[in-house]
Amino acid sequence: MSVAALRPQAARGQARARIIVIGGGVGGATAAKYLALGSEALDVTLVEPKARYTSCFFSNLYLAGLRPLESLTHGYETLAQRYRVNVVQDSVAAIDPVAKNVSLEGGANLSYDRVVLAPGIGFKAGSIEGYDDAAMQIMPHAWSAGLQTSLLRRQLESMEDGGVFVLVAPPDPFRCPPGPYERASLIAYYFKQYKPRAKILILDAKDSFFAQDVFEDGWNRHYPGMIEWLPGQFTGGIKGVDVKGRMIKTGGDTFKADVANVIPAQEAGRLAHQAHLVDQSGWCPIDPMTFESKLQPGIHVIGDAAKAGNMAKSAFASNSQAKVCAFAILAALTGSERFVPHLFNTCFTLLASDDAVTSAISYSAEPDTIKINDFFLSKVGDSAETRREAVREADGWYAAFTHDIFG
Amino acid sequence: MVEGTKTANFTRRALLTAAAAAGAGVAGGVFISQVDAGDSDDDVAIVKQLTGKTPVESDRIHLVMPRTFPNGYTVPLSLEIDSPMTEADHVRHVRVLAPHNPLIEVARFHFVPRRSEPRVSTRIRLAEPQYVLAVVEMNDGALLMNKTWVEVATNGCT
Amino acid sequence: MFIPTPRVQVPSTAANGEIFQVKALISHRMETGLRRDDQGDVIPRNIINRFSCRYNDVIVFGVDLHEAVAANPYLEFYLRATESGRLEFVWEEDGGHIYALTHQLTVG
Repeated sequence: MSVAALRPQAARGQARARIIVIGGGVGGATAAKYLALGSEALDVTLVEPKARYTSCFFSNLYLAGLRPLESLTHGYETLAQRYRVNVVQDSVAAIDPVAKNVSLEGGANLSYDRVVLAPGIGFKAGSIEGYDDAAMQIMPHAWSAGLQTSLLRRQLESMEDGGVFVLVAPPDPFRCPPGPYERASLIAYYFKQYKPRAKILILDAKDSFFAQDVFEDGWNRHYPGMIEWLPGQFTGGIKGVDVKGRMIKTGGDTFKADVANVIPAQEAGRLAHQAHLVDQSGWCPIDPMTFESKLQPGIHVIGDAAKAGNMAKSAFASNSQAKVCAFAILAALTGSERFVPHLFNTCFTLLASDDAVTSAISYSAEPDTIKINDFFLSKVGDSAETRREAVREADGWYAAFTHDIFG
Repeated sequence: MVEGTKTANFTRRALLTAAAAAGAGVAGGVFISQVDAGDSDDDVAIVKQLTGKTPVESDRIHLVMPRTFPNGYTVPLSLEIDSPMTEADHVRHVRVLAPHNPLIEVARFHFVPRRSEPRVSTRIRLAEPQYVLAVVEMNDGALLMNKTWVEVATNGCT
Repeated sequence: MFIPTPRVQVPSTAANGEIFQVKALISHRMETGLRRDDQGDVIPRNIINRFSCRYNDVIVFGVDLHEAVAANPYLEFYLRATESGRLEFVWEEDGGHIYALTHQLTVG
């Protein structure tokens, strides 16, 4: 449908342009809200199987005992009521880009002018031998928040003092680059209080990680000797798991865990693959100006699944991409002003209950990639007061950020 | 032959000051900026001051590091020297130097003919973008050198 | 008190004359002596300053480590298998602490 054809129709109140947003995480919910907010000429539907969303960000605070899981869950009521987003609780069966139709597991068929797909991550099948759906119930990944997170918390609670918690960290690129190391920090924070003889062993697929100096400095100050990190270079990489024995096999040694948290290699979520939006990298190539897929016109991909140049896969990045995408769709379908995309990422990472580090990055979208303009990152040697202040900022940030998405 | 030498580490400034003083026969301070001007000459001056010998650039030394690396805290380094490692012809040791670090000596690797290969990998800290030097001492006392440029985004030495 | 864990990855068997890889890692902060704490006092240097590998009591490889070796020093090196026997790995810390591991190698 051309813009010229659309506008008079919209004006007559007929056949408003239909946007289907698939996935109710940060990217999807933000896109739905900003599309609905942007123009009454759009009919916005959000399809999400879960009734409520639990944020991955800050879920390590729940593991540490610093926040209840309920404080991390958000509903879609405000999107539906205040912004008149049509929220459909269902799973997508298939997207047909030729017929421009989305079919739902519940049987409904929705035609669309544009789809915004925010499918999140999936795990690469077979990257760790023996790590299947059943194994996830014994050795949780807890990399999608909710039941997996509470399962891991229960296992940590029932672990004996003196036990070994093994965290398997994934290869790049993956959701939330500081996440595995914040998790190790905050589980150490919990152990320090309740199981001071426990050990944490990180078996990393990588040879170095994001802000490694800042993390290792924090570990030395708060939890000396509790956390050991082994790079893939040393172990030969993560090869498989033996679920019964809670063993993790590497290229060399096999490690025994009392509690194991296995975060596998990642790729774009299942729906992106099904709709042929993924290239050989496992992620979805997009136009950085609009987040429209380079493989299927009319379908935009945002969030962790998108191949967004140098942008980290994070909640804030997804929110920022969702806004760029929403404004681009509004400009294309309603003739509203086109904006030069401004993309941002901000994150707060806790090393302890009174020690947070922050990062803030601004990006510029170029025709074929997204580049870092400027960045700020906390440093080794920041004062204790600076780090305490960052914890207070983190709390305020969570409230404001989730309000921007769901409120 | 592979006993450790637990000498104190040096700052670049101290070495260059000493080098300038030795060369000119006067107090070195005046000459620091002069020596600082030519970076490539600096490398040779530093090696000369540390070892008492003039190194020869050699492509028998394969020093592999990333051209750019985000974090100066843990930069990968691989080193391999072409050598038969016989009694008659072998590498005695290799020194790795980072002249723009607060302390320039990084590590020294000792090898033994017929028992170990002159090939190592490790990870090092770099304070700023710079040439990293590998200085090889052969069994006949000859000194070979090679270097590679590494651009780090953050100071890994704080 | 925190005791660093020394670790090695070495094959158990090798053919006579074969070159084999050794990977050694010790969890150690490698405190450079260049940093100050939040009171402004210098944090004293504490590094692993020496690593050596003996093969049936003969030194076959050694490293002098300085402040610029990254934390959790990682070393990958290559030895020639000459006879069955004992490989001994020793890490020496400032102040004289020694951490050691041994490994049995069968050459056939």
